[in-house]
Amino acid sequence: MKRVLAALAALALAASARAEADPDAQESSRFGSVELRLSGYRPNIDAEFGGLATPYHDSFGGRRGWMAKVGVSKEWYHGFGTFETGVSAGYWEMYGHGHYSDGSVAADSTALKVIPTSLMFTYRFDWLAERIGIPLAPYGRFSLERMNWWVDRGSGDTTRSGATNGYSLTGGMALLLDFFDPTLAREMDRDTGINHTYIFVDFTKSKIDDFGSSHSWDMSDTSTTLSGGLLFIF
Amino acid sequence: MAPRLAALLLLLPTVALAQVTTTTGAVTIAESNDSDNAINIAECNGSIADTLSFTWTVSTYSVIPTGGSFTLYVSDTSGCPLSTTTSTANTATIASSIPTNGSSSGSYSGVSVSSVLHSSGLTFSCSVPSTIFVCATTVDGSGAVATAVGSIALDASVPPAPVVNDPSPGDQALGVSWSSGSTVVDGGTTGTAASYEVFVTTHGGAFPVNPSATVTSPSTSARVGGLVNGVLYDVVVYALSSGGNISAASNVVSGTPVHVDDFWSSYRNAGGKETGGCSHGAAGAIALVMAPLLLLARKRRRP
Repeated sequence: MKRVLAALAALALAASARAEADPDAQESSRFGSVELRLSGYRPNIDAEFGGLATPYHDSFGGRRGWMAKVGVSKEWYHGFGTFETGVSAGYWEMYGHGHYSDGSVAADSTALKVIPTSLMFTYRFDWLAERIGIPLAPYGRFSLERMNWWVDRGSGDTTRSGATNGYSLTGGMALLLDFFDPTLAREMDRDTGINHTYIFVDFTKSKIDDFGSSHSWDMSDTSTTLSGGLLFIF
Repeated sequence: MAPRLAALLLLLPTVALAQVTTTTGAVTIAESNDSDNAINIAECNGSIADTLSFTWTVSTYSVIPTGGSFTLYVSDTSGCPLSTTTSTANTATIASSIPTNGSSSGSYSGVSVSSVLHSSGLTFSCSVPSTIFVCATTVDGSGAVATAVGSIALDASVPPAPVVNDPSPGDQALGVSWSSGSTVVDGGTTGTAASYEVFVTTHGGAFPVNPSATVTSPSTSARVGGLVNGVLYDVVVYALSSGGNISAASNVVSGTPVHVDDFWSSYRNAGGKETGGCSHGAAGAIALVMAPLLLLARKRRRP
């Protein structure tokens, strides 16, 4: 424990020294942030059958597909941390095979495709990173989620489409990349207006089943979602 | 016109001497039958009518006499040397005395492929792959020769007949796959398939003129849709070379489309409760929450 504290103290001292090395640095004005996010995803559709049937697994197997999202947030408060609201959208798809009436696997393909959209409320404790020089910013997020989905059959035609709503809770850690090259970061701010760049990793627990509606399936992730990406403050 | 033509003919030896080193433009060649920039065996031997159109521009020589003319000819040798200068070159004139009208560009159309390739002086064979060079030449006001050159391939290769696997039944469709095969039965050389055409008909019926699916190589499978479940169909596949030479027919296979449950059908058959469409239950509450926030954001942005 003492070693950890010593390491953190050394990191803080080094960071302070870095911050003092460029006292004239002026940030451009801030609007909010843009984030690029990549995660795995597998909808929990089979959950409603309680193990008696597994139509999703039968069609698509047990793989998790990649989901990519882009988000834009408006900054409302910046002081002892930052509070933002924003929206995001992305894309996910999974291809599998249909089944003949006897249950055997057909050559015809079938696909589930999703455009996930979110309304995000984020608090990021970036005070340490931006004021003290410790390049870590823990954050938390509550999101209202809407999964816009459609199912395709072998011909490529859409069989059915719909949307499922829900919410999610996210906790994560962002690493301020400016820390590693403050001069380059300031030049980037002057040239592009990007004040700070973070790389982040977070965990999300989602509940997306139209809030328990008896007419909806469960589009929550089957497990806690691990995501990573880049965050640009501008 | 006759004196000018005579003068041009007198100049041809000079033209020929210069042509090897004065290629100064391009001839664009278009076919009437297709646009694959290759003459296939059927087009070559005339069993399929095909005519050529030419447009050209000689670029270096800008002083084209108003009364000048282009001579358009075919050669089997790169650079368009005349047979009078290169013993191995074979040429045949398509047209002479095409007036320049003071322009460095010209055009000529309506040339039958089979007739020009079998002209006296040429030795093209429809079963031997070749490159056909088309040359447009003129003499400018200073007496220098300008020659525009274009080319088109004579595709004499015939792909082997594909070997088709038993089709896999799909929903109102058949999945067809094949291998490229190895037997050449036409008069051409062994060729590589550039594309495949899949023909489908009800069992025992005549195959249609137009393919049900066309696939570009190296893909060797296709899904033929628009069929009726429960009906037996025959399938045959042909391979085509890049110039459009058609292989012999593949083996004929048969298959019957059947109903296939896609994921949605499987889900519903299992007793799934989702019915599709926009969200249910508390979804309206979400919309109510989101709408004011979006409106607030818009309002704050306004001056």
